[in-house]
Amino acid sequence: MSRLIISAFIVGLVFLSPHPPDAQQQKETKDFPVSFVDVAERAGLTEPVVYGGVEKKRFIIETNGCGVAFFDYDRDGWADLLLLTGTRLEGFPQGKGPTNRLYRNDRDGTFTEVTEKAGLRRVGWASSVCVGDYDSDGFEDLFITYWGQNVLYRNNGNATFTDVTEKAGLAARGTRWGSGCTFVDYDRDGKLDLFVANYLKFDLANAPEPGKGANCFWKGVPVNCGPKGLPTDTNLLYRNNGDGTFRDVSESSGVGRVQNRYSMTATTTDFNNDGWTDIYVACDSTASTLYRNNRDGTFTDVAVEAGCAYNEDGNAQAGMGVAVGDYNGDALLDIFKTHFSDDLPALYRNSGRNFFEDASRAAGFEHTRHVEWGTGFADFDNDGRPDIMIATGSVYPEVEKVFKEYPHRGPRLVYQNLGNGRFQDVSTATGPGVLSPKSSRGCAFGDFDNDGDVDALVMNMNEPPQLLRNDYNEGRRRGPNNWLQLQLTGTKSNRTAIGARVIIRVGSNVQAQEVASQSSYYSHNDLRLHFGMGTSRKADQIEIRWPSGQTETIKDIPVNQIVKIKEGAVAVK
Amino acid sequence: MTSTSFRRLPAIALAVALSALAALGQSAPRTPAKPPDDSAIVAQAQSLIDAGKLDSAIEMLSVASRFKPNDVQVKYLLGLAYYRKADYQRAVEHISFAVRQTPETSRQYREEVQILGLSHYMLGHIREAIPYLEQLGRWWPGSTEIAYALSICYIQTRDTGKSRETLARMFNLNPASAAAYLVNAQMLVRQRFEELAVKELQRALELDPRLPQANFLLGEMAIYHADVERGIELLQKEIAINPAFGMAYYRLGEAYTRQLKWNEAVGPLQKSIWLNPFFSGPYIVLGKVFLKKNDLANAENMLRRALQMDPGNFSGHHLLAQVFQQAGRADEAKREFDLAEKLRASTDKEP
Repeated sequence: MSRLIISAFIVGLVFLSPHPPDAQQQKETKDFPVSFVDVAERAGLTEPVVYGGVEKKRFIIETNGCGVAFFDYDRDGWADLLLLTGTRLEGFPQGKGPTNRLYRNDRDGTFTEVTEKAGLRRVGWASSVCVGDYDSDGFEDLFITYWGQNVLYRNNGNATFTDVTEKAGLAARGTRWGSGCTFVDYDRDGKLDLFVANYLKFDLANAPEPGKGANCFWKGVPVNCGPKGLPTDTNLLYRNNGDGTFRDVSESSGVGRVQNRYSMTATTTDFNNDGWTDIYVACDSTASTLYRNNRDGTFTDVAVEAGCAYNEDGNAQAGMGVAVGDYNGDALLDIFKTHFSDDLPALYRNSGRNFFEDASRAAGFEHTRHVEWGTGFADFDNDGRPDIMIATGSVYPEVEKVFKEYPHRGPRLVYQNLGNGRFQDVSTATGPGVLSPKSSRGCAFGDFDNDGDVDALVMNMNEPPQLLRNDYNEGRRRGPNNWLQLQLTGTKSNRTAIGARVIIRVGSNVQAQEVASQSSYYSHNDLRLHFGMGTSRKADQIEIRWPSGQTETIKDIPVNQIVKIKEGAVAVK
Repeated sequence: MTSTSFRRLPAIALAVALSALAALGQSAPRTPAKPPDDSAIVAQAQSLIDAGKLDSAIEMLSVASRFKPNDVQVKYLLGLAYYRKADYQRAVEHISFAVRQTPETSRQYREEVQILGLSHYMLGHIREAIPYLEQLGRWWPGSTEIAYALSICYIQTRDTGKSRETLARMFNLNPASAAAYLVNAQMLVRQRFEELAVKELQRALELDPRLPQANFLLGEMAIYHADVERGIELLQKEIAINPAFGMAYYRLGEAYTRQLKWNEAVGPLQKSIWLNPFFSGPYIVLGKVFLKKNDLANAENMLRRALQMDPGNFSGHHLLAQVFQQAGRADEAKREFDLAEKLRASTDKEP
């Protein structure tokens, strides 16, 4: 099938709002002073991410794609990149298969691939990545999930990694489809434990072909089957023994008892503010899961009563990506979840009373034809209000031949936070990098060029990734709004500070964020928490609630810097 | 991510179809089929099938099949037994063999075509089902069940011309009439082919600008695709043509809730109820409206009324749970959430 060849201008019209923007919308759109430029090619990110068939997907294993990560593997203060990959059903000759790729940041806008040297070469159907220093040696380790065997890579501290899966007690029995994962110190012993989600039970040898079953059609077009009709699986929790090994506590913790879910991205948040990290899992076509930490080593799924399992009418949605952030500046962490086509993304506003309220429509979101995947709350214009970006892409490349209204490739959608509880679609105003049609999945957010604005790394199916450089601050040009980045290190808490909550106050304005191991879709964001500060010259107060339970407060921090904060120590630059 | 399920004939409709077709089959020319080679086994198996002892029949026939793998009667009866067990894949395997060797003038041949057509349909093998269903339609042109199954197949293969003709026959309409386009559009919407339905509706309105329900369907689809303003406009057009159509007021009220215009939603929803107090939909939406306006007493009242007439509606229970949650009635909220979960799970299990 030939690709649709459309100019970015026409793409903008096809993909976006059915109405031409009215005058007020145009004014608000023009006020979003952010432009994203795709610098992937000049940065050296030219290899495509192979994931299944290009024009046709026989099986669901080819469709989900994988995540990406911004993470500083060598601790030089510059975010490096990890791009996961899949493979093809027909396989590749020995030694020629596509591999995950690690790119070292050269600090000049370019990257160098160091995969082989780092020991990260691996061929398979990768899903997600989560990052955390599980052995507390000061270097961030990696856990990558697969259809097949998940892998724990210990960072050796010398720019290399070692596969320690077997040694750590994480080798799986049988073939499972690992999906989301997150390092999490659920028992507050200072050591990072590991939560692993599983999508469904998939038997490639016996999987039905497109069109050969009730769940193998989409509007009459034969497509890959599932997930409905395929058996669900359960999730896993591993407790860190503190000696490089983990123990499976899935059953005793209650995590493994939650059933009938197609689990996808996993993230952490203390939704009820009791100081104990909970785990939220976006689930496809079934209720999403909110594992409430019972503070005794066990979890209970409270997503339904907490109002974040379904939409407001009690209907299940196809949850794929998830972002946690404080979009309305009330210091409570909200959840944003992406969905399938002809549905709207879910914005769950934290009410502060142990449940969420569906604020999707109130915030201005509506049904869209796009399938939405990776997403994040990120303050792209540094005005103190986190915006949203969403990566889109269809799972049925066959459909666009019949229904051009459902294109296989879509834009990245950018929504500006208007500060009144609403978001405005500003995608057409944020540059061609955002509008160029791709079938995207994972995306990560971080400041790869250390210029004080948030960039994005996007995985595209069977194409090179995009590295969307935010040009709010670029070269000598600085936008009028200021920023602050915080890099936290635990001492009594886990070293990566996963689960640490930061609340910044500037006058009467407040912002909250938490350090997470995974979010978006199967991806990992830069661990440095980025806050837009508007025109303020300092943060009046920064409060850090560490996972250990300790709370520290720092006052009067000047803006436009990266602040390193160690638990129990005075803040240093 | 998800794919939409192929919409099958509901099981009860299928049972009706089978009995209706069995009755119709009685009227087929009675040319006897070829006499079986092992008539005792065949007769016994037939008796077991007629008595509903399908597993026993299958066991007996499977043994016979090992000795006589090409026996048409054995194959036919195996196919029939599997069909009655709803094992359509195996039914197809056996009947496909038998049908090639059964005289086309026999009653058994017609049964075999019927089993193949409906089995392929139930398996979602649309293209394979069509020729058999078309043949059945020629034999029994008055059968609405066959016409329905065939029209669904045409829709699934996006042959809107043939689906319209088939539905027109079923509903005694002129296939070129506005009404035929409307009925076709309704079925297209049910099967989630909204884009094709829009074209049918536009043609229907060209033929008859005051055709009831056409603007309503267009309005529903506009709202579904987030063009709420346009949807409201179309629903108001529908009401101008069809002022006693309660569903139009219901959808109009719902459209206002999509715009968060809670006060504007109340009037149309009330009118919908006054026109038809026996449909739970507007009560549920009104319950949601009152919940959003923080009028918890009225929200509870509306939702309870809805659930009295529609106790299996999980969405209603879910909303009622939210009302209790807002009111701080935690135990009642949990009870309603749990009930909504149970009802939702049983809905998910339905074909």
